[in-house]
Amino acid sequence: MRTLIRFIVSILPITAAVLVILQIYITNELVGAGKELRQIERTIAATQEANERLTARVASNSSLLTLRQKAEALGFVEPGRDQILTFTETLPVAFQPQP
Amino acid sequence: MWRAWAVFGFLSLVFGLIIVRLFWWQVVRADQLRRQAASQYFIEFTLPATRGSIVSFDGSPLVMNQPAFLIFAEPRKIEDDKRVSREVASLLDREEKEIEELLTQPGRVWVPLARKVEASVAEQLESLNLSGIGFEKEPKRYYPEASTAAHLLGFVGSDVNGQDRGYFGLEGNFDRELRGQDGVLRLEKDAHGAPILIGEAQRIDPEDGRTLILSLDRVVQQTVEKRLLEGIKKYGAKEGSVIVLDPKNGTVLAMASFPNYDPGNFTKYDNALYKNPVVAGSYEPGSTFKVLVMAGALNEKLVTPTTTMEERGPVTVGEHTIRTWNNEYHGTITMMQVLEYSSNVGMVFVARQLGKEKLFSYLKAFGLGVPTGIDLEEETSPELRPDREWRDIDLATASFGQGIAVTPIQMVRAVAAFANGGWVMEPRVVKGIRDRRGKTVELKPRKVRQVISEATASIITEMMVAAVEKGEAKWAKPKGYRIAGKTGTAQIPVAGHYDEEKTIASFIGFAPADHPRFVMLVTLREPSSSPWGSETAAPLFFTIAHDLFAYWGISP
Repeated sequence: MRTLIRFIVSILPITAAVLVILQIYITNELVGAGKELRQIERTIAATQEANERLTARVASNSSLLTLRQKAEALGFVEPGRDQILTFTETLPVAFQPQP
Repeated sequence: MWRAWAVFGFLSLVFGLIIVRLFWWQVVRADQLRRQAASQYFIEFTLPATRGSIVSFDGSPLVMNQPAFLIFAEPRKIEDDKRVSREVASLLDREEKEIEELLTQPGRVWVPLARKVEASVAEQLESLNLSGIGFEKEPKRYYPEASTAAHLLGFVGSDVNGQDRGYFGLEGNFDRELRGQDGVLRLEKDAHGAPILIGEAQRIDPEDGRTLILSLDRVVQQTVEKRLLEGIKKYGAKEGSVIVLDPKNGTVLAMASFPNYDPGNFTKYDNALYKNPVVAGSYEPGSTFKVLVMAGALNEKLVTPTTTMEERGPVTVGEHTIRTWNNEYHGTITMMQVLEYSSNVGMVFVARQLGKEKLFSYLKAFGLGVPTGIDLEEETSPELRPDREWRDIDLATASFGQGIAVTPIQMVRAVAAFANGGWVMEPRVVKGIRDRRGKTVELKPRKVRQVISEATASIITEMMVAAVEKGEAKWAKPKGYRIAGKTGTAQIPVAGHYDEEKTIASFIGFAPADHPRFVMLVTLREPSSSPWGSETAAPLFFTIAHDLFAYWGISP
């Protein structure tokens, strides 16, 4: 028991020294990581900006004004008043009379 | 002994002064020093909130954000003013001299050069690697449908502090919901300005603005705008507007006015164009108003569709003479025929049956004289004079819609009650609001009051159908459809009298009459081809109605 206690007491300073060195090392590494953090944030911002631009482009390409222009370029025209056929629920067909 | 006391006194004085000085710096000036110190080892970023979008009922964006930048200069970092001015001016499309003046202003550390510059232009400028030129994100509003529904949407400008603020329309009315709340990020920084990861950090996330989901149908909106523009050109009108509502819930399906403006470039237009004439412009409705007066008399059972009156000539009211619009008189006519012939003399008869008090109470019940409560910023209402101030001539002229002013939204909302069992609804443009997490709050339709009974609504509907079938505009009606409507031709008051030639031509109606899908009002100001509503506004109404029937698959 005494031997164990002496052993623990003897390695305590070494342990403390190791932990202090580890803390200094980790702190040093993390402190420098601020630069990397800024770089990552810049990348995120750039990706977000690209996303916003693409969203605006999709909205523009699917706008009714763009679709109308493209339709006109393809030769589509407005239907005349008499060109629209309307079907009621009952189709106007003649059925064979029931026997 | 006295020497000891003198030394003691001197030392006490010195220590006292030191303590006072310490108190001054550590207590009185503590906050200021703390802030100064914090500014050296703390860096603070505003995390701007993204302004919310506005989308149509099917989710298609009408207003959204696009990346843009504030371009600024730090004159002390610029070596060659002339070269930088030249490069910047050519890309920003500005005068070189103007930029050079900004850069060479004495004592300036930071100078804004241009705001909300599109990302493509900013990229070109950035690629030049000009020292002393910086960029800050400043999103800009983008309108994928260009100036469609401009009056309804409003625009985003700057307030006195240079912050984005919505003006007019939805941008103005819902500015707080759209703006959101900016966030803040405070970080400890090192000597190079880079954030220290293990240092102190405080973050308040931004709350992005909410998205407005409208009841507006962009197909209906663009159809209405296209036809309205064609109509204004065809009939030589100075201005025109159309509003389409769903009568069952009061939601706006389309709202258009011309001339309008481009909300993306609003500064290039006269600011008189910013106000939406449908909710902020008043006019005398003319004969379209007759249906409201007739509905009131029917509801009070003072007249029925078959009640007769003698239309043998003009009617005298005090020192005034009221004639029909075409000076034709048909003898014994029914109330149905009063609307078919649009007889002013017939309407004076109806108004006299109703009386000032009852007519006034119906006009108030239909919502005249007060704003409708529609969710657009600039809505106003012309005043409705109290009935005790009405003379006999006022009762007479009000019966055919002259001497009384309304806004288009008030007029269409009142007539919409006929298509909704007599219930007046609160008109709405926004049907839901969605936050950034996707949670949507739906705004329920609001019934205001029942003005006339369901039976009366049915009767007046049939009378309006007959007015369309047999009235002056019957030639333009789409075949096979039952449309309830009324034409209107109102003289315009100018400097205390009515102009002989200038009119506001209008048509109001709903269709299909039996199961109304929409109620619509068309107004044209000063049409030059013909002053009459039956020859201008009515055919335009029927043209738009024809398009709407096809779009919604409504068969005859």
